[in-house]
Amino acid sequence: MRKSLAVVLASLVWSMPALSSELTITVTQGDSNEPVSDAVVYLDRVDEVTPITAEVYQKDRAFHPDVLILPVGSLVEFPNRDNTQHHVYSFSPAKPFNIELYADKPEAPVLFDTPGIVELGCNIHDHMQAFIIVTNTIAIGQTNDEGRVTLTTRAGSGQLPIKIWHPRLPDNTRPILRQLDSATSQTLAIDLVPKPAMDDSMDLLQQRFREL
Amino acid sequence: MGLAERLGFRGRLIAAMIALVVLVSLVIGALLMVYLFEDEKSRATQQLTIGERMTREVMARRTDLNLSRLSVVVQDFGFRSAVASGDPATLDSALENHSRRAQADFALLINSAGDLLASTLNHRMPEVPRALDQTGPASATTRAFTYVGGQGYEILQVPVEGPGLRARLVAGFRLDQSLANVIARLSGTDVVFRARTRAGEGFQILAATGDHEMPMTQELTPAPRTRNLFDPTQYFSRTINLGGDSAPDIEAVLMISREASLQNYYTRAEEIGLLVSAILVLAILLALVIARYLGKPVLQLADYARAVGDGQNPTPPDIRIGGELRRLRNALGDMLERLREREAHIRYAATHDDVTGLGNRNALMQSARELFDEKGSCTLIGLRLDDLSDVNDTLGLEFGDKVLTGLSERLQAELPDARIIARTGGGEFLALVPSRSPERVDALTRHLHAVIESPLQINNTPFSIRAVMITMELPTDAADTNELRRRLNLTFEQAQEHPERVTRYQPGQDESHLRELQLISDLHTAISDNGLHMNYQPKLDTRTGQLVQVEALVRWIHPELGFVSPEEFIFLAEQSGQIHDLTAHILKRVAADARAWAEQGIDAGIAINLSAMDLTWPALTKHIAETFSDWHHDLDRITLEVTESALMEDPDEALATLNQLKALGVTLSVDDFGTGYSSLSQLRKLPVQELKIDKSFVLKLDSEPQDQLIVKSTIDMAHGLGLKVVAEGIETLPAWQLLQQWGCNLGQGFYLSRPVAATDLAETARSLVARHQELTKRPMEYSQ
Repeated sequence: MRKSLAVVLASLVWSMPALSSELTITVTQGDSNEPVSDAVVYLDRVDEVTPITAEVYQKDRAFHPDVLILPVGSLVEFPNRDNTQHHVYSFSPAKPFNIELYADKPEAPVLFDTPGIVELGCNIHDHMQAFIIVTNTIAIGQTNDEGRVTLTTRAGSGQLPIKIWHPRLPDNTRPILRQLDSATSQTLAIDLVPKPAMDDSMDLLQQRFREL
Repeated sequence: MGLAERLGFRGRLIAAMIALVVLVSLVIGALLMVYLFEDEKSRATQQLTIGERMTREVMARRTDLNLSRLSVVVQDFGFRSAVASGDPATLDSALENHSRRAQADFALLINSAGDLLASTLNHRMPEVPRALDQTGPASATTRAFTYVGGQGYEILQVPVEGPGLRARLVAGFRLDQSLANVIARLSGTDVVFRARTRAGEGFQILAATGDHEMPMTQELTPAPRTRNLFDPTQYFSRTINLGGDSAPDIEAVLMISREASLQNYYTRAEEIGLLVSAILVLAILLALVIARYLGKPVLQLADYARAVGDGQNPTPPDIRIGGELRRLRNALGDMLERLREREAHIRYAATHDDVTGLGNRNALMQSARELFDEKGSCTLIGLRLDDLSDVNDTLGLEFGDKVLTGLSERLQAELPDARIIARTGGGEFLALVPSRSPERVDALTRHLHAVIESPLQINNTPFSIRAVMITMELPTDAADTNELRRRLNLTFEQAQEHPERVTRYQPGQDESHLRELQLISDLHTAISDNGLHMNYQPKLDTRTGQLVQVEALVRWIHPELGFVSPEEFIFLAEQSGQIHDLTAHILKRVAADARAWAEQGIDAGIAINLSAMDLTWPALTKHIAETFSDWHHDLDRITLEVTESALMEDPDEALATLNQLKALGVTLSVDDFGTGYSSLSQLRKLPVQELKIDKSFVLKLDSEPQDQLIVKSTIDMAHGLGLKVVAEGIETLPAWQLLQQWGCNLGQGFYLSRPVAATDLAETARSLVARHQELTKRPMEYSQ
């Protein structure tokens, strides 16, 4: 099932430094060399970021968007546009929160003030899942269908630590950290778990047990 | 005997039937038992297979159930909240609470790095995570069996995945008695859970159902499907490895106690045994009935056959059942017929003469035996043809047979009242006729003899034969068949020697004959055992009265019959062919005695009598020469006396022998001279040097003038022929003196000396010397 990816880019109000360059990263899957789309790639550095207010609404028993890139200190609204109530929560160490069953809109937005991967779930719809990637860098992007993403880097830097995250990482609670030797465009290979064949009629655990 | 046979037949029949029944029953029983056993085994195997499937199913369902419980637990918000809180106390209590909800026996919580976050166990169990397959993705569910702290567990690991939550819940479910009971109840087998704690070690029993004496340390056969009919163990068992290939081995062992199957088996065996026994009893009854039914005719036939064998003429038994027995009865009947025919034939042949059709010797003897047994009496008339063999030789056997047939017809015609008429030999006929008075017997036999000797018409030729007849009165003349046979022969011999028409058996003949037989047999013993005595009678020179010679006289005192005269036993020795042995024996004895006298200084010649048969003995001369090879005198001092009659029997042979003896140098003397019929011309030819006048002329010499004449002229004649003269039987002095007077050379007689034993000869010689005066005194009337 191909999800549409919504990417919210902060408009940069300050002038870009003159000494900056473009870095194109191609993400492929380690075992098949196929391009990986929708991977979040960002530099491991601290920039001045501008907090924003975003929303992750629930519609058709799913979170929209399912991946949200968020600067540190931003607020997120969780409006419910379904005809059922939802109980949105997260146990992620970056931002554990819990919004008990509600309809329409929760009373207050949730503040995400720690960088990290925050996984969202619904306590009454186990299959609902969304991720909020909270970072304090502006050099961040999602790969397109060819697995490519272009980041803006500072010139003159030697080694570049790069973080890559994808929902289907074996451990999707944290990004993978890669060290680039030079700020040149290159291809990075990551391992992903296969997409689960979603079958709502079967209990997921049982289904997994059957696959043993 | 009959009873034994009856029992034997029935016994054999019953034994055969019972053996058959037993054999068949045992084979069937054995096959049944084998099949039963196999059946029990296959049933057990089948049950075990079902049990195995059942066990696997039960375990899978249990796993599913536990998994669903666990999945509920891990999706429980409270639980996830507690996990997310990271507060150890909260975490522990939540784990305790929720694992109890899931009915797990223990639970562990492990974070994604594999560190233990919480545990319901009091102590760290490092082996628990190790039992789990950690190779899969963290979100995977895994299952394992392990042995922890003396218990076996099924361990399930499920991921705890909340939004932003990554942990694993490990829960253990004990393989306990209740599970074993469930499986046992469903599968109908006993269940044992066991664990091998370390490779190479024995099993630990985790749980077990049933009240069997399961040897806890015993290693059940690890092979999952043992197929052995006589498995020594008490159980059919099936081992199911629950944990797959991972160690430690956790196994479920399904067991069906063989006791029940064996019990079943034994019950069946007992039933089959009872059945076999019942069949046996039936078989015995049937065998008895059949034996009765079959045995009776067989016994009847056996009795019938025995009666046939005993020569009776039984009626064939009535056999109602057909078939073989009837055929056997008929065969026995036919056999009886043929046996009787053959027996009659044989009996006829055995008791009849095939030429004349009369009875034979057997028949006659049988008839006589019956007569003796009946204590009856009758007259036996016997008849022997003189010249039947001549008739056969000259006129042919057929002619001879016709003669015999004609004779037998005449006998049958003349003796109509005969008890039996039999031809008992070549030309011998015997008849038993009723007793008559002696006169009538005489008349009958005379008439019969005349009839028999009257001419027979054979081939139109008159032919007359000569025959002797005998008669015997039974049982006066013979009281049993042995006597009859002996006396018949004696009488026939008698008849042929005395040419009378009819000879009657003389009582006593047989006794003397028996005495002769005894003497003949005992003589042999007497010769070989030195049972004969030698006596010696001196012979004196008539002129000097000196003892010049002794005559050897053999004497035999029979231990039972007393004194046996030499004439009698010498005659018998001649008859029985022992005469040469006797002569040789006497020669030896005389030679030995003569040596003894020579050593005593007695100078005496010896005279020995030879019998007629000695003269025809070729070896006689050699024998005498050898016996007297160490003779101490000239051989002419040995005189051999030969009777006239002996010389006359075979003159040529005797003459040859005498010549040989003369050549040897012995003196030859004619004994008993004057009693034989020898002519003087023969006497002249004989190579003899001496005559011995028979004592019959000498005994009464002094009173019989005729004897005196004969003796005197004989002496003169002998002297004229150049022969010496010896006179024997001198009993008186006058006789002695007459002989002296007539110039007789030697004298011998009781007047001079009786015969004496060899050892007494010296004494006799001395007494003769003492009588010298008397013996040489001349009578007065002759002193001219």
